[in-house]
Amino acid sequence: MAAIIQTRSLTKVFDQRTIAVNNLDMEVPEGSIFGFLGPNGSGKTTTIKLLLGLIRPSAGTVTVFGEPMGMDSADLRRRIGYLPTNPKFPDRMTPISYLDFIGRTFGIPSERRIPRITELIRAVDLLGNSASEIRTFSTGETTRVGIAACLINDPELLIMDEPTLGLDPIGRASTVNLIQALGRQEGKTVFVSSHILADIDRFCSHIGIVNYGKLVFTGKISDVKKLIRRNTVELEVDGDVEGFIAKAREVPGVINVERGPRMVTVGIDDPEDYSRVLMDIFRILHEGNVDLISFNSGSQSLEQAFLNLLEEEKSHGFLRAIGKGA
Amino acid sequence: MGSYAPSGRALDGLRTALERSVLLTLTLHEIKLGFKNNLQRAWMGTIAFFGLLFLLAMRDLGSIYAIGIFFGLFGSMVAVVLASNTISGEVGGIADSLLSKAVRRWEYLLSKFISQIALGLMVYFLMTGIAVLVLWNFDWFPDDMSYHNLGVIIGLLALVLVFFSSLGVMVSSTASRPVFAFLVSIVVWFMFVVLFLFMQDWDFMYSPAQIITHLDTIQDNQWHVDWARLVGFYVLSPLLFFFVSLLAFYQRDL
Repeated sequence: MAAIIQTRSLTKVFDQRTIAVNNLDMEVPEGSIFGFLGPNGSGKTTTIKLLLGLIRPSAGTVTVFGEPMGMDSADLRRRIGYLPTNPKFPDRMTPISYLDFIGRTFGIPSERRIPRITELIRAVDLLGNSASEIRTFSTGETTRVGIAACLINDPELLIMDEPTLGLDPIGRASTVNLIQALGRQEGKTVFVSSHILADIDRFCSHIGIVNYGKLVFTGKISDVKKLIRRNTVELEVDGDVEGFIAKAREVPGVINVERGPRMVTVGIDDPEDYSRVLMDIFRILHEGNVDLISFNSGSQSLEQAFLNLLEEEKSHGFLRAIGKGA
Repeated sequence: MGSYAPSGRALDGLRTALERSVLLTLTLHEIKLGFKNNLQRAWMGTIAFFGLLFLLAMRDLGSIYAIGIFFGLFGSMVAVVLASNTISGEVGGIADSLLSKAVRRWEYLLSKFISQIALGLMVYFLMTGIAVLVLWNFDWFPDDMSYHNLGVIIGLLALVLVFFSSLGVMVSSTASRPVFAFLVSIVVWFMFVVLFLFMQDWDFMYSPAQIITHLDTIQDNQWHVDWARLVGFYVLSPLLFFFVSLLAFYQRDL
């Protein structure tokens, strides 16, 4: 897939003191839902601002839609929708007046703009309070106005900074569903930054993990999970558990089998043997007097992979500086 | 119908071009929001109150002078203070949101300058216009008064507002926080007032203090103004402030 966003050696140093983004080389494939993951203060928002041309890089380049992004790249941003964290709106504006204003800044003529506004207001479920001033809205309602505003120009690329922050579970689920729909059904490229692993795991196809401004991993989410998937599967079984454990230990490629309070954890040696080992495990379950209640392969693996990657990156020490030539 | 069609199309084309102008959209938006601003409304109420007071107390041309001087002294401070929050109060929030859309930095900046100047002038001309109408209606103007010179006086004091409004926007574009912008705008306003009061004989400009002290002589055609000097200062100053703002704002990380 072609890259819709490309950064090369992207660096941002504030006031010659704080390295917010550190030599970032990243590609966001077109049509992907790209999760940009990192702990608080890792440089996610700064990276997003660099991608949008809101701040100037200290070094490196940002290319969006094949063109360099700058402060005045209004034509590029015409194809982008941006949802900031906790979006701010002018005082004394209603969702309709605000969306109308934003639509005008995009140069959308009224015959297209008005129907689009009504469609978006309905889509984000703000029909009931579309005449109220935004300053009276809750966090969830404000986020929905922000979502509507970032979709008004029907962008090809959506950039969302912590879109579920501060939302209740219903709001979060709704936002997650929307992101999934935008990416999978509408075919838009979505770049989402978050520190909530469960959200990223749920809807992203690709992932970039950043720590202290440095990209420690980028690739498909399945590749990230393989990093931990090589080790374990967890099974909740009922019946002759001890018999199952004894037979499982004899399966070639199984390095250890441990019994926990509810789960049996099976450690697998070689990721290449993963499928074969699983087939053997399930055959033992089928032939033995054991019921499989639940199976978990890497459902928590993203969190573990994330932590492992951060720890591994940190452990490289001085070698982190030797990544490529000057 | 045949003669309407070309002009109708031209009007539609103009409407479309205006609709698509980002600068015009931003400017009109700022002006609308400006009139909803509580401080702006308080200022308009204050002017209306004092304007009425001057009219009823003086019932002659002096009330126009009083309103003009009131604008020149207090209006200039209000203009600077109101303008000082226009950019600094939005950076990190609304400005980020706007500039992440199809808006160029110079468009955003220029819209702030134009809208703040327009707001100040609209309020000023509205108040003085009402005062002139009232005086004219009740025949309180002197018989030998020159309406042309009255227009010149009103226009000269308007230039003072243009100066201070654009100064406030420049401060706003360079200050890192709204509170700094507010404080700096007050200090800068005071500094210019002192400068204008004590240095009235500069060769390259007419200070507001000079204009205010010559209102009678302007009305009587006794004060000969070097228009080039006048316009030069009051047109070039806002342009200079805009240029400085442009330089500063393009260096600024949002």
